[in-house]
Amino acid sequence: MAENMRKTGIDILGDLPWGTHFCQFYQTKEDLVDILVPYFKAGLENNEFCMWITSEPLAVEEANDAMKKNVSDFERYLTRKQIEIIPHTEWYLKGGVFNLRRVLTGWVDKLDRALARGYEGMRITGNTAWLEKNDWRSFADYEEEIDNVIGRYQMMAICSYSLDKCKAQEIIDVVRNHQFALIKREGKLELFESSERKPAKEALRKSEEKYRILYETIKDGIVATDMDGRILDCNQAYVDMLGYSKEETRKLTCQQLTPEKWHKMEAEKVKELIVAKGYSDEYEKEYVRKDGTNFPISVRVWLIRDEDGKPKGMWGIIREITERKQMEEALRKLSNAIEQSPCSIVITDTKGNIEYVNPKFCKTTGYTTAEAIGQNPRILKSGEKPPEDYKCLWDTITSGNEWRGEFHNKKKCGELYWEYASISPIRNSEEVITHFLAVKENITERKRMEEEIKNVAKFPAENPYPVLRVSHDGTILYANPCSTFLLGDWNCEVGQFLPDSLCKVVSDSFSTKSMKKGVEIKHRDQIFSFTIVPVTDTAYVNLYGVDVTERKRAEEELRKQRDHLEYLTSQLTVSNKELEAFCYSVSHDLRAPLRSINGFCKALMDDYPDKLDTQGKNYLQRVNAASQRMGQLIDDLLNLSRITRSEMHRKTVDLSALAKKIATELQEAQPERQAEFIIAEKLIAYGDPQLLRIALTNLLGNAWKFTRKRPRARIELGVTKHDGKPVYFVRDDGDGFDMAFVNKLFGAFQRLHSTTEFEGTGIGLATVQRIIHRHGGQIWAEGAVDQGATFYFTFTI
Amino acid sequence: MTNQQSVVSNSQSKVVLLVEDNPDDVELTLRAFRKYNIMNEVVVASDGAEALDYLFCTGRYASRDTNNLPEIVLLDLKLPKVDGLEVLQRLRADERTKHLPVVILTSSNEERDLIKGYKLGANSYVQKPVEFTQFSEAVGRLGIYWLLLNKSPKKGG
Repeated sequence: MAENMRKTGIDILGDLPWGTHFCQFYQTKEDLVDILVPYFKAGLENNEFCMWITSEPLAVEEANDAMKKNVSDFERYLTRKQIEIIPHTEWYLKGGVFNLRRVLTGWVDKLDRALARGYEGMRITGNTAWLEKNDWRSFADYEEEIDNVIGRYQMMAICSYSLDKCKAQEIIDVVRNHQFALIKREGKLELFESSERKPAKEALRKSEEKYRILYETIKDGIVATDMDGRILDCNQAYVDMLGYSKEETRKLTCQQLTPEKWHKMEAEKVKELIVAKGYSDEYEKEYVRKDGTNFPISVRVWLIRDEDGKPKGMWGIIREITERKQMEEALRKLSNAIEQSPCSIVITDTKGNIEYVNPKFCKTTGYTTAEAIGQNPRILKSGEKPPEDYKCLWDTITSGNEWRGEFHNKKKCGELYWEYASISPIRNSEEVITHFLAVKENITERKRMEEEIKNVAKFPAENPYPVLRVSHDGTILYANPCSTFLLGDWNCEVGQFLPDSLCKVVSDSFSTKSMKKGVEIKHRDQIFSFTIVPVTDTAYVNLYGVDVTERKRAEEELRKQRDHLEYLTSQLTVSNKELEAFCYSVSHDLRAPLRSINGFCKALMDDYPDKLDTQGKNYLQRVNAASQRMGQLIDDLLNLSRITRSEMHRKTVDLSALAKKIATELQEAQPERQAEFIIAEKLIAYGDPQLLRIALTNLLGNAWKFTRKRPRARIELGVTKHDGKPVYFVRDDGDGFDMAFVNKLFGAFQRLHSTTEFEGTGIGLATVQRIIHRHGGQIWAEGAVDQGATFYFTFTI
Repeated sequence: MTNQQSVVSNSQSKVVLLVEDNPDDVELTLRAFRKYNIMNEVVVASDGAEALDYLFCTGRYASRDTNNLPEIVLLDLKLPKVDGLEVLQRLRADERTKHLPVVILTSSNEERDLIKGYKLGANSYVQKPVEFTQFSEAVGRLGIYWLLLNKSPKKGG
């Protein structure tokens, strides 16, 4: 660099190379002028561009004056702008703040222009008197930077520091950042050169120094250990974080500083990552402070190897992440709160495109998260809200305000629901709206309840009957519209007392806490029945009226009918008794003369056979037969009447078993006949066993009788269905009958055949019909001459 | 009006009391007895009151010995004055006639008469058939049974 040596203009310094950066401590204006005037004079004379940044105590004018006095053609240098004298406010503090980068580029910029203008380099000075305590650290950084910059350019710089303003530490800082320092003490100029700044080791020293500063000032803890974790060295931040002194830590191992539960994990990291790869990824664990408290940290570790490449120790960078963990926890809570919120939460971008929905939203609307993201919330629109409302909403939130209101929205499935929404903008740190947040509560159920309450509230008013509420002493508190006429009758209104008689009922009901029914109140020809209900917890009594006029009328009508029925029943009883007496008389008296006729006929025939000729005997025979037949008729008639009069005792009757028994009896009575009985199984009826036996005996007996001419008769008892009800039938393949006479079949003593063809009095089917009628059933017949007959019958239970 | 008829009997002491108001029936009954060769004396009472007089030796029969009871009473139900069931009731209520065999012989085939008759202590209930052959058979058989086969307590003891 010998060729770049420049005259400093200062005797004690002589010539120095480009890149020299030194400082000057001063006490007075004169100290400044004494150094800086010869410094710039030499520069101007040696074709260098000069910049003098002044500060207190020397103003720009004073510097100008001093230069003019000592440099003969200073005006010429000034005119061709070889020198600029400007205040610090227009250089360091341009724009109000000190900006290191701007100032540095400013210097380099000035130099470039100077060189372009033909100068050999640039010579500068700057006073630091403007520095405040707060700025010291960053200016020190600046000095360090400028030391680097000046060292690389054709520049020379003196930095002026007020000796009175600097403390020892600051002086050391200043000296450390400059190659040497000039101090005027007791009128004599002295030169200080930092002992550390030995030229040969300058670069290394600078580097180490930087790392030392970094090591000690960095906020992360740095620790060096051997392979067993014993701490060899650590920085201030590391001990600060743990609460130990540096000396104390040197007796500790990293394991001792780590809670037990992390040991295994860390041992594996050391084995698998650090030793294998030479470093670890960042991982998290905990440390224990001297006071025993745990705190979370993140760790990165590098392996240190010896000259032979064998691992000899580790470097670790430790960062306390308590705050980060707390933040994470806080975020997790917030996130959970949103995820688990009972409200639907939707976040959109400023255009309304959905970016987030919480699970409740999905549950409410039926859209999945994937379906909702990227959509506009208008997918929920039911179309009921007028467009103006949406415009108002949009205007409100885009202007930065919260909008609240109700939506009648549509789910994915088309179902409508109500929600109450709060929609508000989300802003970033620069107050710019980035998103919108909608928090919505499903109020369908609440709406429904409100509606229901409204409806319920209208209940008494809509009641077509009188409803009144009175206090326990009978003061009318409420009367529904329908009770107006009652108030008219009573000549009172709401707020006044009920009539005395009612007051008494009300207070009795209230004091006994018992409901009273059937309190009748008349209004013209209407009758109202009131129920008096005490509501004890509110000291009210409710009166509910019902119009019972019709009911009363019906009851009266019913009573009349009942009386009439009783009269008829008594009449019937009398008739029955008479009938009974009649029957008894018939049974007894009608038979006696017949017996006489028959008996004495027989006596004649027995005692006087020789006195009668064949003709006479034949006549007696006929009288005899007629009397017998009349006896049979009387018996049948009595039986028929007995069936009508006898009391019914219903029980379950197995018709199948009964029919089989009758069939057997019939067959046994005439064993010579060939007949087939087809009797369905499990025919169960509910009726009087005696009467049903008579009915079946008659029906099957009839069938038996009228199939006499068949070589092989077929008689069937079965059941079929008609209108879902069982219809029983007895069918035969006998002589049948002509349907033209079907209505005569069931009449008493009606016969379709002569007694000579088929015996009988014609009372059987009449008997059967009476029995079926007494069981509430029906009987009818179908048949044709020579084609058999079928008798159908039913029962009513 | 009484209609007493003495008949030759194989056991003169065995008297039959026939309580019957219908003379035709009396005639037919006696005829039936004859047909079956029942020769016992038949005393006929034409109403309930007379039957009671006879049995308890009152009224017209005051001079009768109360110990001399008939072997059997054939009792119609429908009778003038005191009806048959009442006669039966009175007989059963009296120590003397408590065990006297009584056969109800009536036209009625009413269930309730039958039940009531047995309830009051009738020994038998026979309905008079219209047909004479049957009638005479019924009367004849009951005569044979009660007069020849049956042993009454007083005889046995």
